[in-house]
Amino acid sequence: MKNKENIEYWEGLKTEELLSMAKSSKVEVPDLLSERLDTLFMDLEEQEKSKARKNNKIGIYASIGLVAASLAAVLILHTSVAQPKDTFTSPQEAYAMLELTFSHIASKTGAATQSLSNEIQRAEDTIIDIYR
Amino acid sequence: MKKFITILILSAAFASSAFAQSAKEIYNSFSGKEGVSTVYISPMMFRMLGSLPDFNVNNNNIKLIVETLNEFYLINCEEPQMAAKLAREAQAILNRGKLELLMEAAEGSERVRIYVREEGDFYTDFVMIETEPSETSLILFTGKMKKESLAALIGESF
Repeated sequence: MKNKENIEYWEGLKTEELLSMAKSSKVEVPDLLSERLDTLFMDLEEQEKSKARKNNKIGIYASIGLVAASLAAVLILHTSVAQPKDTFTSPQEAYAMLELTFSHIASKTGAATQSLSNEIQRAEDTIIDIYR
Repeated sequence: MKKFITILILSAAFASSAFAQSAKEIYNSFSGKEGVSTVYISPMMFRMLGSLPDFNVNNNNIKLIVETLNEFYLINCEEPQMAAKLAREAQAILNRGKLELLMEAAEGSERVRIYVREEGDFYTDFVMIETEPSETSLILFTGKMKKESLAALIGESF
């Protein structure tokens, strides 16, 4: 049964019918229509906000999940490889090893610098010979 | 933006961690093999080293550097096949770990390369690879080494 208070009634009307009704003074405006529309819009607005809050929460949970997954991956990587055992049992031996290693590194880098200096000197001598 | 920064920080941490883990894997795979010598000094041992007296190398007190170290690995292969394998694997992890080549020197058939990972005024990783036709050595330090201290210790070439 068609009832003017139902939205379906108004949706079923053609544009011409709506226009002719608008021109007619017989059109009855339902009681409290304005308040009901306000309430309807407020409800819709609240629903939209609720959806947005829900989506925001999902984003936060996803970020937390991503951070947790990354940390878990790092932890798994750390624990999955066996920890080597100390070669030395005393700090003195370890210290002696480090001293030897640093001396070795220093000798290699020093040798490289010396070698470079020799090459530069050789190149300079060659250039001088050419221009003599 | 915050998410991007978080992911970036985690990626950096992961990359750094992945490099250290790869070095550990290499150490474990070569340790105990014939023709291979290995040395490992753990973070716990480094904490104990802090109580030792000063020690000079090239007129520099190495204790100041040792105090900033966390781990030390040394792998030396004198067997040609193993040496070639170590050189390949070390290069692969260096490429993955995004370390920078600090120095390269060649003398005869010997080639020395030093790689570092920088963090501001510090080196967090220091790697030296020496290759010869039949021998490869890999030296790796991790920690928070002051650039100037390391440069002074190793020489004026930095």
